[in-house]
Amino acid sequence: MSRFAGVLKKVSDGLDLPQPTRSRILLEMAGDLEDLYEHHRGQGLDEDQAARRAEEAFAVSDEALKHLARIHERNSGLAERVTRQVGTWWEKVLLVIWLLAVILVSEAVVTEVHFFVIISPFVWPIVGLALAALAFTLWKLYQLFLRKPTDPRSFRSGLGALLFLAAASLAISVTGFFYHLRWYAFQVWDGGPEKMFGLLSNWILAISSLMIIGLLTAIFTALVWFLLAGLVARAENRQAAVLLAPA
Amino acid sequence: MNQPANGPPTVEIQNLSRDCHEALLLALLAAGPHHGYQLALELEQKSEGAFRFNHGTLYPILHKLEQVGLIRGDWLDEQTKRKRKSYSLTEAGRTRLARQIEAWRSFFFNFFSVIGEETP
Repeated sequence: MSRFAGVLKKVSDGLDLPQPTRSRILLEMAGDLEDLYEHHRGQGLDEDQAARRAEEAFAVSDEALKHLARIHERNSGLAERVTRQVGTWWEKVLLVIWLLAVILVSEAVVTEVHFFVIISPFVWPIVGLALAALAFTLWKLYQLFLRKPTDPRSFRSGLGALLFLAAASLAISVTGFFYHLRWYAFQVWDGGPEKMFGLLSNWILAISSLMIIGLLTAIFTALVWFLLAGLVARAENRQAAVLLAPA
Repeated sequence: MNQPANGPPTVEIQNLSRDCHEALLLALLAAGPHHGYQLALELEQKSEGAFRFNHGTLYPILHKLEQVGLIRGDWLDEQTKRKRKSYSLTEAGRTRLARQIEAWRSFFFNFFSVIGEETP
């Protein structure tokens, strides 16, 4: 709740920006408004006069708001624009169903007896990326629910790293695929047609496990990014809602 | 502010207002970290009311300077548990301020030369 909810509401309405970015601007203004109010109070003004003086000083023109929006427009990345789309209950249900489907498919594939018969060396860096994504996710959840940092930007900071890990996993899978393709082609060339069938089945086993692990890691990491970005947006929106609630 | 390849930096007439705001804010922040409202108050006090920043117009300037890396914004809680943003000058900001001061000195020298007065 803020005594300046009216001023902040006007700013909020005039800023055509995604809510998280808008929340950060409102938080800054709310802090400064309160401090300016305290400053005027310290100079001997009564509560109403101090509040009025602070509000007058913060009169933001439409032009200034447009300018502010233009500055932040370029910074409001894909994450903020995409994650604010998931708002309705059915969108959330669809997201959960998708996540469960990915988990079930992963479980069915990975527990298959023959899955790990031939492991490509490219699988290990992907496993490393998956572990890094897991560690980052746990850190973010700790930050969001337990540590609750002061800087609202730190909720969001580093979230893009998950997308990078997902992309890196895909890139390693594709690189591994072409590496194995080339390697087995040379083996067949050297070994002759009688070895072809055995080599082909080995190749299929190696690249199938590599591609499945790579794709699943990428999908999982991207999904976790999406869910975390949604949680971050909710946390930022809650902060803004508190500010805009009348005192 | 324009930085010719050889020669001192110069203030461009068409960007007077922008450069003036930038130089004033960087100069205030050179003294130490400030909150947005403190910058506006201090500017008014130091200039004895000659320069006044409406807080509404202050934020776009501050955010732009932060975006280009001349200043840095940090969030503080302090004792009040109220979230407040404090700005401080970066190294790039310090370098920019030095150039701004040089540019403004040169601008006023040229200005008073044209109107036939000595630089005060």
